[in-house]
Amino acid sequence: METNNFIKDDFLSDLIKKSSPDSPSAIFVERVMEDVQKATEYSSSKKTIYLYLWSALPVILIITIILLFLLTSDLPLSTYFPGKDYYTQTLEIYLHSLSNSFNLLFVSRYFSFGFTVMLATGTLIIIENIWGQKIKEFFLSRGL
Amino acid sequence: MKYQDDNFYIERVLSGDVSAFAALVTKHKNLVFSVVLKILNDREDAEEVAQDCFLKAYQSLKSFERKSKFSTWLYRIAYNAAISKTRKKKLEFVPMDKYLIQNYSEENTPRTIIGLEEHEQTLLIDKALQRLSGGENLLITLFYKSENTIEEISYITGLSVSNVKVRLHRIRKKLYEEISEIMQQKVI
Repeated sequence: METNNFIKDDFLSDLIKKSSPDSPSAIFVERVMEDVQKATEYSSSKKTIYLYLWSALPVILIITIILLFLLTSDLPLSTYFPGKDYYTQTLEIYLHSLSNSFNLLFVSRYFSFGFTVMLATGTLIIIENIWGQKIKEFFLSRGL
Repeated sequence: MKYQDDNFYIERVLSGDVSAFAALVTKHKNLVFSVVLKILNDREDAEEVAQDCFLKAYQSLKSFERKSKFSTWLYRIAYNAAISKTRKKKLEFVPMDKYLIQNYSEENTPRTIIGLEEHEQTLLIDKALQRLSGGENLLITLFYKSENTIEEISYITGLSVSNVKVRLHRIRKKLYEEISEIMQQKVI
């Protein structure tokens, strides 16, 4: 490391060390530790919720796949599935018309543009929610 | 109280011992508070910002890469938090009078101060430091009091290394000039 003799000054250094220290209030450490404790509790409770959701996700996915299979399958066995008649008579027609009207919406360039903007915004919000903390930590690790 | 190396407490915090963070707070609170106070010039605001700064440091401790000293990293968080609070982009430095720089009596000043009692020296340096701007005071404190290197100060403040050197050189001259002036006025 380069020496900085033109600013190195032991006399001044000693003198400045004699200046009155700037100290925060007596309960400063206590208050910081209270905040730290709260942050720890919040982060662990958040982790528990995420853990619960993550563990429930495969179950939800499997149930959804089975339901879709039973509702759309032509297998004779699936006709005994409760709600299959309702799906073929009402829900399938409704979903079909919904998808048609959705396609029609994209004929308008204004809608397409607005939808693209909304989709981009939504994606950014999701990215921020998922990686926001990591991005924040990245900048903080550099003291920014 | 004798403290262990910062890394000792950091390891303990990272392994789940939250209470070890209290030692880091106690060890660095004065200088973090001092950095923030010099920028904000308001004790209440400074305490609030310093408190937030420690919380941020705790939450990001996992991502602290140890490329710099923990204190340097902490001061940089404190500096940025304080600057954000003032909503200014950079710290302001009062331009110095050329005459003042060229005509100070640095050589004579130390000899005169040595003759003073210790409490008088404290009073004198406190008064002289009060005459500096917040930015000048901060650089002087970081370099001469907390003994940070030029490179570390550059990292904390975002100023270039050469800029820090030039500023420190000028502030040092200015501080000697202020000391001489106070001694001539016999205000202590």
